[in-house]
Amino acid sequence: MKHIFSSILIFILVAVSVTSCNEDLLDIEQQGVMGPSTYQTGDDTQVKQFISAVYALVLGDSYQSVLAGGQASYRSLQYEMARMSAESANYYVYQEGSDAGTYSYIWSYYYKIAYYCNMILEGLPENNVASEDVKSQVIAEARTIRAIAMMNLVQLYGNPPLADHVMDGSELNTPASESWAFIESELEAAANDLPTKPGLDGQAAIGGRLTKEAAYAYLGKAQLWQGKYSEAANTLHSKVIATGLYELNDNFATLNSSAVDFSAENIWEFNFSDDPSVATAQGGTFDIACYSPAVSVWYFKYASILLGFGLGSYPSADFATFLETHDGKDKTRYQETLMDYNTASMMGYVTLPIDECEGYIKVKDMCLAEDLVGDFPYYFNKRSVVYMRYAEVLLNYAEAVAMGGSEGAMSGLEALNLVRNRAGLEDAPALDMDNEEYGVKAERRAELYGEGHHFIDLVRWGDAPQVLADCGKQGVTFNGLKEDGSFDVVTSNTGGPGFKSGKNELFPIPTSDLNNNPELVQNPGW
Amino acid sequence: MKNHRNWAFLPMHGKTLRFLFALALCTLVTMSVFSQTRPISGMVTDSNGEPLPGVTVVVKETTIGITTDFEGNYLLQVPADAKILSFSFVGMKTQEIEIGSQTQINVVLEEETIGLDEVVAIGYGVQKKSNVTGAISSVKGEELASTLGSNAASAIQGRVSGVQVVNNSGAPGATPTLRVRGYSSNGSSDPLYIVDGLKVSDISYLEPSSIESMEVLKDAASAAIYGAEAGNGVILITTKSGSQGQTKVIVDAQWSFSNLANKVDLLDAEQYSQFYTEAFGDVFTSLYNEHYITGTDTDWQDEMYETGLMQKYNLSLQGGNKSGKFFISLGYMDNDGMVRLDRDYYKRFTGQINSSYNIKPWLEVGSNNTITSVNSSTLSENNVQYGMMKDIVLADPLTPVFYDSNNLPSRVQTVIANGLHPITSDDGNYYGYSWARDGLNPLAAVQTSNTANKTFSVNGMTYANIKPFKNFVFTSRLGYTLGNVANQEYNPTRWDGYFKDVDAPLVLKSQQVAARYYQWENFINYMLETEQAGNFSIMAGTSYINKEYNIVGAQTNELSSEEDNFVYLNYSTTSANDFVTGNLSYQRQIAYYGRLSWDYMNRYNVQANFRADSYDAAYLDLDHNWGYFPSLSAGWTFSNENFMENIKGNFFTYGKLRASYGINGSISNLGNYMYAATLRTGQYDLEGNTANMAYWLDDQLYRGTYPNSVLANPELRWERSKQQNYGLDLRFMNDRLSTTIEYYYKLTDGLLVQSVAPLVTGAETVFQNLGEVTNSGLELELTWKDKIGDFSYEVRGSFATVNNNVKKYRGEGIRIQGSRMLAASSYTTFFEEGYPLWYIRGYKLDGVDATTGAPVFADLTGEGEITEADRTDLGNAIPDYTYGLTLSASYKNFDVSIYGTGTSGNSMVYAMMSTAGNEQSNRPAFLYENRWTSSNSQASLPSPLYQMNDPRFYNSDAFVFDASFFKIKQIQLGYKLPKKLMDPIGMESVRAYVQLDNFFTFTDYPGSDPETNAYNSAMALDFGSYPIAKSVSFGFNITF
Repeated sequence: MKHIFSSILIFILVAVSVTSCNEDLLDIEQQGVMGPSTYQTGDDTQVKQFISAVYALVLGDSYQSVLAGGQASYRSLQYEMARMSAESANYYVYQEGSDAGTYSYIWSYYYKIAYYCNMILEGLPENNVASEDVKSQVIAEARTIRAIAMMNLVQLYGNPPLADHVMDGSELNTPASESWAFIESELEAAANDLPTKPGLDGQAAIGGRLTKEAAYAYLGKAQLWQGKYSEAANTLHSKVIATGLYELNDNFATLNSSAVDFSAENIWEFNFSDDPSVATAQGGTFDIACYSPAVSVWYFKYASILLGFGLGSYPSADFATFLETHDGKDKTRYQETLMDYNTASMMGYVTLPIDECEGYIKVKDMCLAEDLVGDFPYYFNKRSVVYMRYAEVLLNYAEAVAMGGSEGAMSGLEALNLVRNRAGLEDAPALDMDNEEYGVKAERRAELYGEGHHFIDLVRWGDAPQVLADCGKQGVTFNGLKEDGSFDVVTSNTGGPGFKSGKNELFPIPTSDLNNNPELVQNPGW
Repeated sequence: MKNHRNWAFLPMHGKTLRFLFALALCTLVTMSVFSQTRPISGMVTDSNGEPLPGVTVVVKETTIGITTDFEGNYLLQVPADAKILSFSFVGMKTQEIEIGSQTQINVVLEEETIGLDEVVAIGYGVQKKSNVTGAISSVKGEELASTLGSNAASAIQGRVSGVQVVNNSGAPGATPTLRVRGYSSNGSSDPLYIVDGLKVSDISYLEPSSIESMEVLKDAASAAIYGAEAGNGVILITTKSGSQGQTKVIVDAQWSFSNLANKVDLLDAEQYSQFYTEAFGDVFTSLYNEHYITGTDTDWQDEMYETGLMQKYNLSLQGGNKSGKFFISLGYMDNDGMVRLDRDYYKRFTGQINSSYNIKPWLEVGSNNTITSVNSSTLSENNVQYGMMKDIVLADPLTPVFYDSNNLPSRVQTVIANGLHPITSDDGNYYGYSWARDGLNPLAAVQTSNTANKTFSVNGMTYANIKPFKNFVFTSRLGYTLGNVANQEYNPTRWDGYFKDVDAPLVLKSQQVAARYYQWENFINYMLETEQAGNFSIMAGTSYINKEYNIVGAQTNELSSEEDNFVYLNYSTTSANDFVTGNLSYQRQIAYYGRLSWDYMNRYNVQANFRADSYDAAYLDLDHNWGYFPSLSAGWTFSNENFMENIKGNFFTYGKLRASYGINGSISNLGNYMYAATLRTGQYDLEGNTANMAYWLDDQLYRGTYPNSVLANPELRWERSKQQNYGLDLRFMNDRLSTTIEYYYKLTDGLLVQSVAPLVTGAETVFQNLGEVTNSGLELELTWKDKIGDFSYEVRGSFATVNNNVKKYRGEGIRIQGSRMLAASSYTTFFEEGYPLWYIRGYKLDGVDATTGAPVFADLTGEGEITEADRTDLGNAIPDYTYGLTLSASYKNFDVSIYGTGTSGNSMVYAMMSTAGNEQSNRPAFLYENRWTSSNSQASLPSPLYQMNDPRFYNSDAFVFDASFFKIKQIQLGYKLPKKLMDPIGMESVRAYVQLDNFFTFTDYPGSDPETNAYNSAMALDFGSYPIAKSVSFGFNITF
């Protein structure tokens, strides 16, 4: 009998155990993700979500880049560029190797942007669900942004692999000339499909998206960098300046305010919605916290957030001196760019030692009290982040002309003077590159301070080895005011060797990518 | 076994026998009326001629018996018709002597051949040790029992060759890391833990005294029955069960007092000020002049540590009869760590309930269950960025622990006046704040860190064995883990830095994790015994595993009050920024497995294992989710061969050769859909809750949709190890000397490399099966045991070499970056072909420029300048060899044991610092003593200026030290109260002991402990852990 019982029991258990091993049980769906085929199957809303991610990524998140580390943002890049060009008192010490995070994080920032764009560009053409006009605009935007990312890569890294497809890591160096050709043709092609700005105040209708004119403004910039001065002057004049769709805002002071969001000076901007229901759900929170002075300020004008990061908030004394000489302390542009400690202390700054400060505080780009939205830790500044201003277009054009490009209806000198006049300066007597008082170089340095241009400008002009020879050799700490009103700034040696000619003009290709692909050729000197 | 006989058993034998003797006496009295008796006397000795006291002498098949006296003599009245006398003694072979007409019978008892019939657990069954063909090491419960502390894993250290036990942390409740035969993976190399058949992720929930045995399956053939998860070795744990006729009550108690074992040699206030004056000049001195409180010179290590107390109590009950057995154990442990304030503790209740019952001759059922409840609080450690333990070493000596309440610095008065909240002690003293570095006073940090972890779990296995016919067993068993983990973390509103002008907001976090795990396994074991062809045994079965996690968490930054009774999420205000997390996840696994063994004439053994494993879509793409793991092993007991008969004798007693080959997998680094190409929407960082990928387009906010930062790789699979093992077991000199020698060669391929994706791809990480790692080594276990009169002793040594090498990655010079020091721009450890796993790569410091104090690095490439290419191999964390030595001895009522363990050839990076140029942390003395100054231009280390500012210095061998060590882990002295005192009070035995742990360490490493080690790629970096304590313990065991 026992055999029968136990055999039946075994039979039942075996039967149950075999059926329990149903392989379907292994198919556990991943939470919170979508499949890559969504590029082909997405509707209009989803297609806009694809490009929204690109726009959000371009600005990036300063919280991530500063606190969490590893992720670059638009602002953290501007900050690094200011350090490298000795415009920030946190001088870049030219001592890092090719495995340094600084270089790899800038590299990945641009390649990541290109990746997001390439995923759209490879997937979206096969999409038959979304409407044609939505698709076409998104594709043109992705092409433009990919070209801009590539332009930055070429400027900084020389001959990086061209991201004209979804990359797998096996790509070799692409000669810069080939990349430039790609950048130009892409911008040109994208411009055809992008909407034209519908009037001087028409940007609001397009919002924080790219226009045909923006693509051309970047095309002109690409041509200028390559030394194609005639093409640059022609593109910038005929496709941007002569359209009459842009003009400088009257007052330099208003640039810092959300009042000029979508103004006629903005070529391309990241737009924060003021709608309180979505305020904190947008990218770029914490930006103001990360890039405010690391001292207590609750001044009626500026809403500085008191978290003590202070990155990029202290201009170098050299720049402050330059601007005082070039513009004068009484000029709006000086006052809206920086203030010295004497001025600031009257507004309630506290006497504490501040590292990487030489007695000046950057106020350009500082959040105005009226523009602050949200509560800790989700503060943000509702002002648009402007990636390219008409002032830069005018200066690019002036430079192209000064370097031999042919003028259009507006002369190069006129373009320069538009910028000078708005800053409160007299007309320049002539169009010149190097003149310390009215040259294009000095004007760019003053006007575009902190906007991420100066380092590549110095390299482009060949001035970097001389200007940056001592960059980072000394570290500075601000110890407050002396009784006579001068600053007590103490310095220490860092042991840094300064900018090295023949090497530091280009960033190194990050070691991790060389490790991955030994066929990649490193830049000279690294 | 002989010298590890459980002394606790002896008195019981005595007592039982005394009872039997009394009974026998009565019987004799009554019987004498009817029958005659006659006396038999004699002496019992061991093979050396030494008398054996306490030997049981019984007339076979009666209850008539006696034990020998101290001189080994006995006198027994036996019935006239008695035929056979039986002589038995623990650890000796029982002898039966025909009485015949003899009146004097002297007997020489032979020592029982070691472990011949001992069985070892092998996974889904047991095997006679004599039939084992793989490399299995076994540690028995009695060895575990003497181990201090809460964790069974530490008992293996130095006792099993080829198993490295790394004590990462001395924190209460910390679990050591086990490495079986080196490091097979660039990720986790954790072994698989199986407790009574239940798969568990760690074994810290077990009370060590409830463990009957631990088996380490080291070679692939032994481990292959666990297939895809066995690549890093398998630890099988069997908990105790009762046994028939032995009813016992055991009480254990232990008290331990711990103190910091080793202080790190740091700078005092004067040296510190000198160092930073040289490094930063006015930047430092101007601060110093303004803020230094004259006379302050804090030794933080003295201030932070006090004597820790651990108490441990355990009550075990065991019993059984023909039908059933039970073992019940209740334990409580309270380990209050040695850091001041009550923020480091571990309190654990454990209940072990094991029982089995033969319901029918063909049906046995049973259940083993462990119920564990833990309350604990931990301090962060071993982290490159955050670590409260690291801060003890980094804190500057210029900061006072507390301010003088009558003389608060003006800065502190100002912030108080501004309504901020400087941290105070429970009795209202203001903690000192550091103006020299951007870090909290470490004691203040402990004060404001309030974590409470509460864990409750039931781990169990309930089974039925059905035996329909002889030698056939069908087992159906259900294993389960039901657990709940509740964590709460609270930091009050506090002023958290000397130069801050606002308070840091409070943080209250709470998280609950409910885990439900079950595994259902059905398998048969059948043994076929044949006369001609030997014995065959077959095992085959299925397994299904389902795991479910339910996580809910919430956080707030504002409470309606910060009084103690408001620190609950309920009192979060409406204006607070709250956020929530939650997830329900599953993991599933299906497996089929089988084993075939053959043994023939006790000479030849062959065993084959096979397992097919599959995992759910979270681990692997469903088109590639099955893995197949075969193995084969064989053994030859040549000492049983006929031709050995002449050789085998007193000197050589046993010899066996073994060889095995097998394939295992490791999935421990897989999971979470690493292979999948996916798109994400919205936030990409839930934890930080800040990075919203959204953009305002066309008057609407669109959440961004974008590719995952992980590059897809659908071909991803488990890591696979192929391992050969050759073993030789030998015993000599009547088994006094036994030795096992193993050689293994293990090749792990398809290493799961989580690397920085090629950055040009735009992704951040990629998981790939790339590269091969080999581990090979020689393992030697040697035991000598002997007994001279009342003195018995045992010497046991284990020794293992590990040769670890990345055999293949992607060609020469291509390396994966591993870990780095805090704020370092360059990495310290790398994964590269031709080198050991995560070796240290850096510059060689070649001296100091005598005029400037700048470091001079070796220009290995001879290019005339120092570049990346001048970095070189500076060592690695994997020891060349590890060893352990155990000495134990007993004399009459005393026993003593000493055990030590060591490693050699491993390096460690002193990484308890930040490389940030402005980080004015305290420094180890070696950086100060050997520094360049204008008056000491012949120094070996650069000037403080260059030490602080040249990033290459941190990547140089100046921070790499030989971390070889030898530690005497434990010295224990025990005394058993004389039996004469025990009997009247009804106790069987009382043993008291005193024990010293970690008192002696021999090493050149300047950090607090050479055993410290972080995980995976950071294993060569000492980020500052909770130091191992030295402790003095007292305890007793009572058996009723």
